Amino acid sequence: MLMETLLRVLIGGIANGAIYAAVAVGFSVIYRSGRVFNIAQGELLMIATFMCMALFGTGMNHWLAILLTAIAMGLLGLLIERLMLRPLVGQSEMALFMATLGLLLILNGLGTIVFGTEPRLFPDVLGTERWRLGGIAIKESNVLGTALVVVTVVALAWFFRSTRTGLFMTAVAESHQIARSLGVSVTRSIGLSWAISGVVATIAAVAFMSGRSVSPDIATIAFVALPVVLLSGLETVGGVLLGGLIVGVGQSMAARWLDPYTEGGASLIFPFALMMVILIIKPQGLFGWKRVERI
Amino acid sequence: MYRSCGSFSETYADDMALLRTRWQWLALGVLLVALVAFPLVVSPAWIRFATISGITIISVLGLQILVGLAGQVSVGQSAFMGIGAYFAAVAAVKLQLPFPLPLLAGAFGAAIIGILFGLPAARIKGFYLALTTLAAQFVFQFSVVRLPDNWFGGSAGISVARPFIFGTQVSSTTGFYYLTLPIVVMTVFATLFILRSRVGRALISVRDNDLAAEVTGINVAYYKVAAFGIASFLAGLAGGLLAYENQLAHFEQFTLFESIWYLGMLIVGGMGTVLGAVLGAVSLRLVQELLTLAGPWVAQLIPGARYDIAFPMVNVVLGIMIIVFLIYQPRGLAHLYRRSERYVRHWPFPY
Repeated sequence: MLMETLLRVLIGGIANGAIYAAVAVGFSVIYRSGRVFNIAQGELLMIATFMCMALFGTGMNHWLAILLTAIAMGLLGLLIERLMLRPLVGQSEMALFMATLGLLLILNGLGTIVFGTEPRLFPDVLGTERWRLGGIAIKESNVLGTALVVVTVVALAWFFRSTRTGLFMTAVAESHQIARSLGVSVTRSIGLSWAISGVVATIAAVAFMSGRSVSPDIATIAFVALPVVLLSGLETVGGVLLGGLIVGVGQSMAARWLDPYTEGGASLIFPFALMMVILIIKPQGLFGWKRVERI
Repeated sequence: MYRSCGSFSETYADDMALLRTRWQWLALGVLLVALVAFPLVVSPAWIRFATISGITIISVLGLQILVGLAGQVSVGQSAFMGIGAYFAAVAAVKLQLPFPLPLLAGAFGAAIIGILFGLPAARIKGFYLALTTLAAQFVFQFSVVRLPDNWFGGSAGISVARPFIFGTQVSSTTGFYYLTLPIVVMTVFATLFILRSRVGRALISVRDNDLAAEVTGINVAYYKVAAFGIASFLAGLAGGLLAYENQLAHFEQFTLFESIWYLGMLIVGGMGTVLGAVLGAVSLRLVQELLTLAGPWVAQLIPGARYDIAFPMVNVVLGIMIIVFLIYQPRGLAHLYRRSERYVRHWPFPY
């Protein structure tokens, strides 16, 4: 009995952790190729979700609609780089962070104006079957979604570690000035990272919104993904899988054993409490680059 | 500091004076008279707007000390306002304390919690620290509802009666305006003095270069945490006033969006000056008010748009303003004001 509960908690946690990892990888892709911390990542996810649904509404093939959304989100990323970040090149990390706060307001407002606030049902694109594993039902869509996220994250990690372009982008994260003096285009690197992040938002939307009811509020999921990216370290791409796993399973355990006593508060507060602990004990995270300051 | 030609100091006292010339005294007098006379000439809706703007000014001044002076970004200012509002409400309703005391309870309560969330400042800086304020925002929102109902009223919030002063209740909009005004003016001057004191100088040095500050003997961690304390103190004061004004302390008034708006006010107004905080708070509240008034009109123009269009519209416009100011005028409205002032002084000469 306990084993079964434990397994159920574990499986639920993995599914949740994967969506956090999917959002977190958007943070780290942008951060590690331009030192911009994009707080509006959740808004990108929200826009991708609703754009997808609007295209589904026209009756076109689901996979074509998803492809079109991915392209549109990539273009949106490029547009953001061109309009907002390029004029701010050379500004402090703080100014860039505050600019993305402005972006959060804009995208959230536009999303609410265009798509409305009432929840709607996202179609089942990943199947509706339930598989049984030792007496526990597992949703097909969760398994496929998790697999999709893992594949995406591993592919991105490979891209940043082993391709020429990926290494260029890493160089930009290390230092704008040095990268530029070596002939790496800073603006192109940041633009590319935003485009990738838009596409990743689309993948995350497909992987996890399938069969759920969605409203513009889903953007807040990005704030729960913040502890994931802090835990794994802002500069790592592959590490978000482990971070997502820890936060997802931890939250699901808090939901199972602590929530009955706290009216559902423990699982909501858990990620933020974890975030405070990480920030105090090990701010650079598990796989992040430790910066040593010298006088 | 910029001074016009012919205005020079002969004594140290002169040199330190906030108001240097007779014209400045006159301008201050005119401004104060205008503020006192304001409710006599406008409708109650605008008096309420002025009260809310005043409360916003208090909160943004706190943020100015934390962000503009100490250089630590905070996206949790409205959570600390909320904490202040709840503490003030509990002090006023449950403990039945007489009027000014609940405000102080709110302010000190918020300051203590602000210091708690500021403690990581001893180890981290920059936007990592901003994330702890984000955590404060969410922990506040999620926990207040779920604490036992007889602590903070659960999802209903706490109703607060308007305060009694010398036995009479300040129930009218105008009355509450006159109650808020002196508190706002006092906060403005207090912030001016903090800016010019050792604390203010120390905070500026921490912002500009924390290593250099440390080497010159400034306890960086202490001052950063102190900045969190002062910012939350003013936020708590503002929150308490807001609870009295709305006659309700409720967590839905203190959202992440409000926090980002406060930061936006600072960016639009200008970092590092009291004038910037005041200009930013008033101008963005004005934009918000106008958009709220215009909301139903715009909703009719867009086919299929819903009536609740004002709030997202405010978000879009504020977001655009934040980005435009960051790109084109990072020193904000305060700098524009100073430039125009200089232009008028030198006119007809260019410099």
